[in-house]
Amino acid sequence: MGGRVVTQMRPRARVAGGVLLAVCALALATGCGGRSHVVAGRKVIVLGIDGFDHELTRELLAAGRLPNLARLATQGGFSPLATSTPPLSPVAWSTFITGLDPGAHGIFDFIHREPDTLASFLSTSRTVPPGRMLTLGPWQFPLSSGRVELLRGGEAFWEVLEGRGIETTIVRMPANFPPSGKATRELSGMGTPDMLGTYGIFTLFSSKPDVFERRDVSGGVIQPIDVIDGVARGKIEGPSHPYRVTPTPMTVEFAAHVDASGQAVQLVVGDERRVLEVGEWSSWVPVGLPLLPLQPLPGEVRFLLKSLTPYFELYVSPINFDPHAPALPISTPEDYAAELADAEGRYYTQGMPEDTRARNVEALTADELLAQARITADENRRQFRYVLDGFRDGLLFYYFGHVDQVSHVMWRSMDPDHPAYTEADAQYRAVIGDLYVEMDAVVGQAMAALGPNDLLVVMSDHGFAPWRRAVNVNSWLRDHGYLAVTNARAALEPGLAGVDWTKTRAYAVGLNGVYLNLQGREARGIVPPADVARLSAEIAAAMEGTRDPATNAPAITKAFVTATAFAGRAYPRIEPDIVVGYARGTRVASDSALGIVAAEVFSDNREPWSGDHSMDPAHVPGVLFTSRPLKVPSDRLQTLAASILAEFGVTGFPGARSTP
Amino acid sequence: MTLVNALLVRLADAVLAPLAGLPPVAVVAGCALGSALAVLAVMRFTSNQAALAAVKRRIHAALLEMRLYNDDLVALVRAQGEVLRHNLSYVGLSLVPLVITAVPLTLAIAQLQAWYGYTGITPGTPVVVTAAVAGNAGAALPRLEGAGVDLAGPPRFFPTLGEMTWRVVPRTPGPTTLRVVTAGGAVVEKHLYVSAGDEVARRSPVRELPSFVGQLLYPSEPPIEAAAGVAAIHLPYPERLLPVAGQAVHWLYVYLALTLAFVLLLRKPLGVVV
Repeated sequence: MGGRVVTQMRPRARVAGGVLLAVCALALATGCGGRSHVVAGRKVIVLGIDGFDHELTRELLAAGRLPNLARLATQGGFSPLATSTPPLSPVAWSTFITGLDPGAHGIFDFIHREPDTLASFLSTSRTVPPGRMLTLGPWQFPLSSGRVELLRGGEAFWEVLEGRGIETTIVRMPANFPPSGKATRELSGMGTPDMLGTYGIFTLFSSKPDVFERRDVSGGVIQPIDVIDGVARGKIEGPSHPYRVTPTPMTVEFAAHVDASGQAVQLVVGDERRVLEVGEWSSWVPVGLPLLPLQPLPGEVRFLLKSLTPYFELYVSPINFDPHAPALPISTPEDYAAELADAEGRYYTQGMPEDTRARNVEALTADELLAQARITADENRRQFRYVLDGFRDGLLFYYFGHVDQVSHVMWRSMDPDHPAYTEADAQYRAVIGDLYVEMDAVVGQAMAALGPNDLLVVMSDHGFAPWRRAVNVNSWLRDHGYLAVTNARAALEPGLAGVDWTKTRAYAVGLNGVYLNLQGREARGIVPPADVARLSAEIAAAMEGTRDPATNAPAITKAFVTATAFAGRAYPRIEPDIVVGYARGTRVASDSALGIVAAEVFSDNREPWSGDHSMDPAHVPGVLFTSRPLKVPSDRLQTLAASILAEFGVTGFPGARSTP
Repeated sequence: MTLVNALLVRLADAVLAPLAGLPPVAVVAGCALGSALAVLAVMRFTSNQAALAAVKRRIHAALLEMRLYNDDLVALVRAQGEVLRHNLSYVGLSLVPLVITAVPLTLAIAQLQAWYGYTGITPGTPVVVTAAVAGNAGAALPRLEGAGVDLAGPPRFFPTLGEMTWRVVPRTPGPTTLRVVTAGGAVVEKHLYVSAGDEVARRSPVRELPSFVGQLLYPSEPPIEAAAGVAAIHLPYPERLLPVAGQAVHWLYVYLALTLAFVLLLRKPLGVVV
C-alpha cells in the first residue's frame, strides 16, 4: 500500500526531532558536582496531583471514600487552592515553582506563537541547534554544540533550599525540562518531549487506514499496513537523521507474526520479542534508532494490539527516551533516570504519557486509554514508593499526572447534561472517583513515612469542570469587527490562513490567549502601541458581556487584560494581551486554538475530551491538604512555595510578596 | 561436549552452590582472583619468560627513543616501527598461554553466567515460554505441562516463526520441570527455577538441539534429542546486574575487570612476566 495517510504535525515534528537529535548528538555531559548538605532535621513531602478538583474531592470526602485525606484535613487542613491565570498546567506549575505570575516567569500556555511568523513552539523548552554545520554531499556534521534550554524564568523554590544546603528531590515536576540541575535529585516531568521533540506523537498501523481519512489526527500518524502470508511488517518513524542534509526519518522496523488462530501476534523488534493478545499492551520494548552503524540512539515504545479481525490495528506509543541512556538530559544527576529504571523498571519518560490525543481521535477506545493510564499510574506509584523509601531529610516533591489526563477524556461519564453524553458513558461513571481513591492510598503511604517534625502537603495545580460548549474566539473577534477574513474557505485552515491582516486588530491562538495585531511586534501589525490599553480594555469588556445563545448564560465570566493583571511584564513578545476566562462548562473551541476562523462562534463539544480547566480561574480551584497547619498559611498556588520554604525558616521568596 | 558439560555443571554447582548466600559481587571477585592466579600460572609455565621480558624491554626502549628524539622525524618513524615489530613478537610469545587459558576461562564463564547472569522468574508473574517446533507442526501441536505452574490463556502457534508459546504462571518458588509433550508422545523437559526473591541459583534460559556453540553457551542442560520434534525451548529469565559503586553492571564486566586487575597486581609478587 501507499505511504502515510494523514498527518498535520508530522513534518514539523520530524524537523523538530532532527534538531533535537542534532543537539543530543553533541550534548555535553553536565555532571552533577558533589554538593555538601546540612541536615534539615525534618522531612517535607509535597505530593502534586495534577487536576485534583476541589469540588469532587469534597464530594468524595463527604462520601467517606478518601480516609487518608480526611485524616489530613482533620490534622492540618483542607482548602481550595486558587490557581493561576490562565489555569493551565504549565502555567500553574511554573507559578508554583517560582512564586511569580506568568508575566514574570514567561509561561502563558502549552504552546506559544512567534509574533513574526505565528509559528507555534513548546512553551517550556527549546532546542537550540548547533551553530555551524560541515556539509559533505548528502551528509552534514555539526561543528559546534547545540543545547536544550528551559524557558521558564525565575528561581525555582528548591534552588533556595539547595542554596542553604538542604537536600531536595524533585521528581516529575512539570515545566522543568531540561531539569534545572539545581536539585540534589531531579526527574523532569510534564514538558519532557518524546524523541520527535513533541508532546507525543503516536503511530497507528491499520489495514483499513481510510477510517481515519476524514479525522483530524494531529498528535498521531496513521500508517497503512497489510498482513501478508501471516506477517505484518511496518516501520516506526523516528526523528530526522541529524547527519543527513535532506530530512530523512530514522526508522525502526518490526514484524508482527499472526498466530494460527488469529487471536494473537508475536512482535519481533530487533532482538526483542513480545507475544500480544488482542487488546493487550506490551511491556516496554527497547528500540535503537539507526544514528550511526554501531551507535544506535536508544528509545523505547509500548505496543497495543487493537484488533486482528476484521482488520489489523496496532498502536505504537510515542518513542520515549530510554531511561537507561536518555539522549537528552532528563534527570539530575544524569544517571538518576537510570537508577529509577534499574530499581523499578522502565517507565514513560515522556511528560504527558496518557495518550489523550489518540483517544480524542478514537485511535484508542475508552477502555484502551484507561488500561494505559493504569500502566502509567502503576509505574508512577512504584517509583514513588522507591523514592519515598530512600527519602531521609529535606524536601521531596513528587508529581502524579494521570488524574488530570483521564479526567479530560472521561469527565463526560459523570455529566449526563453533556451534549455528547450517551448511555455507553454511564459504565465509566466511577472511573475518575476511583482514581481519587487510589491517590488517597498513595497519600496514606506518604503519611506513614512522616515523623513528628515532618510535614505532608498534598496539592493540585487546578481543578476541573465539564466542557460542554465551545467558543471559537477568532469567530467571535470576526463577528465583533476585530478580525477580518479575506477568504472564508481559507480561514477554515489552521494557522489563521485566511485572515486579512491589514484590517485585523486582534486574533486568538492557543487556549486562553488573545493577541493584538501590534505594530512592531506582529509582522503585519496595525495597532499602534498607544492604542493597546484602550483596545485591550474594549475587547475584554465586550467579551465579559458575551452570552451563549443556546443557554443565554454568560460564556465568558472574566477577561484579564494582562498589562494590569500580571505584575511582571518580562516577556512582551510572547505574552497575550488578554487572557480569556470562560464560564464553567465553556472552553475555547479546539479549532480556534489552532487559528481557525469557523463559521459559527458557539458549538456543542462532541469530542471525547469532555472535561477541562482552561476557564475562569475562579471556577477551577485546586486543593490543598496539609498534615499540620502551615507556619505561613497559603490559599493560592502562587504563595504556596513561599509557605513551604517558611517551614525551613526561609523567608522572602517571591510568592510571599505577591498581591492577590 | 555433553559429557564435559555434565562434569563441569557438577563441579561448578559443588563450588558455587555453598556460596549462593554470599553477595554476588564477592563471589565474582573471588572467581576473578582464582582466574588471575590460573592465568599467571599458565603464563609462568607455558611461555618463554626470558624472551617475553626481553621483548618488553625492547618495546620500552623504542618508546623511550620516541620520547627522546621526538624532533627527529626519521628516528621517530623508525622507533614506531620497532614498537610495532616488538608488539607483534610479544603477541606471538603470548599466543600459546593465551590459547591454553582461553578454553578453561570460556567454560568457567559459561558456568558463572548460568549462576550469576540471570535473575528470578517469580511466583504469580506470567512468563512466556517459547518452543521452536521442528518442521511443520500442522494441526498436531505440542502441549505444555509442569508441576507448580498454571497456564494463563490458550497456547499460541506462530506458523511463520515455527514457534509455540504458552503463558505460564508459576505458583511456588523453587526448581521445577516444564514438559513439552509432542503429538507423537515425545517429551522434552526444560528446567525452570522460580525465585521467591532475587536469590542466586543455576538458571538456563535455553535448551536446544545439539550444537557446539549452543552447548558452549548453555551448558546447564543436555541438548534436546533431534527426533523429539522440538528444536528449542526458551525461558525469559531477566538479566541480573550487580550493584557496583552505585551502578548496575553486568557480572562479566566486573569479572573481566577484576581478573585483569588481579593479574597486573600479582605478576610482580609472583615473579611472572606478562
